Amino acid sequence: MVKKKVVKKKVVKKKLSKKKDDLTIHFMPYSEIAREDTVGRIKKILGIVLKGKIIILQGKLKIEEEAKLIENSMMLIGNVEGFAGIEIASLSGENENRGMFEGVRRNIAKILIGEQDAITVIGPASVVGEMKKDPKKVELMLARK
Amino acid sequence: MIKIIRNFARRIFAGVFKKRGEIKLGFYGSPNAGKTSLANRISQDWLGEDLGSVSRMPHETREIQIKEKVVLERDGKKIEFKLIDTPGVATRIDFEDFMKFGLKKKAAQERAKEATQGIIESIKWLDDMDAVVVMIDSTVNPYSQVNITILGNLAARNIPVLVVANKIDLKKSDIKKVRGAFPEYEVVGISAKGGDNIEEFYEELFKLVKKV
Repeated sequence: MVKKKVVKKKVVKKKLSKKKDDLTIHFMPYSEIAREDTVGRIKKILGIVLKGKIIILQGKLKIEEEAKLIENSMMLIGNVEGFAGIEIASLSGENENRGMFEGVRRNIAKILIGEQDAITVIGPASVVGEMKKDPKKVELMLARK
Repeated sequence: MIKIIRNFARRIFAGVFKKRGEIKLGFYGSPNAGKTSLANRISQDWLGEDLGSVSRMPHETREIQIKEKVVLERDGKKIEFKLIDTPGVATRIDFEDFMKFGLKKKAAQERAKEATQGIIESIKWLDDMDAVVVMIDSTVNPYSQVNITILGNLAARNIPVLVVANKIDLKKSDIKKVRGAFPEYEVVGISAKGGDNIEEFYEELFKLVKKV
């Protein structure tokens, strides 16, 4: 009888690539994601975050895309070594009091060119310990392990 | 986008052709905001039984929990609810955080894995709700991206929302800050654990149902 050799496949988990004590901030203009669809945007963002970098994005994602981004990062936890999710915060002037004309103008601009009048900070949870946000600022505390 | 249109169409047709039946009421929020505590209180008040277990350790609810046929009555009006308690939504899950509560590494990793699945489930269930109670812990900063993302996604789906500022019995509670953060929503302050202001919550819940 010929014994079948059982070959155990080695599961190689991807690693969150980040050199110790390295902090890289990636400034991303809105134009870099403007032509991408939801999948493309999330792929691009997570690709950078998985390199251990903090993204400062001009503008903000659509609200459905934010939910998709959270969903996708959850899928990566446990599959990418050292990845514990993301920290995200965005600041925009949408709650500011302004006149009706200004409001209409901004809404039209939002439809035509996306929400560029905002700033979004996204970083890996292993690098960003905490993000504190209020309507006027975002504070980013680095993780100390 | 298609999902949103489908959901909107379903709502319109349901409103025109169907009699109002059981209302699917979801409980959303960050971990430890008090979703299960409130769902338990409602379930206890009207059925005499709990819906789920609560714990100080985050992500105690890691699966969607449902309690059907919960009939609430107010001023002679009866409304039947299906209570849907969802796992807390978070952007980060680190198994080491669970170890601080005394869990062993393996158990902590397992809990983290289940918690990530729970968050994915919570997001997927957004499309299936008729109305949602968004729980916010009034003792912490309300401007978290999780709160904003949940509320924004519900608004995009045209789902009626009641914001509940929980833990008003605690010293650090700041309901004004919650109201200031979400001025476009009705905010009711309660203590799900102690039962403070629960009558006002029921009153607001009945108002919410009118929007379904």
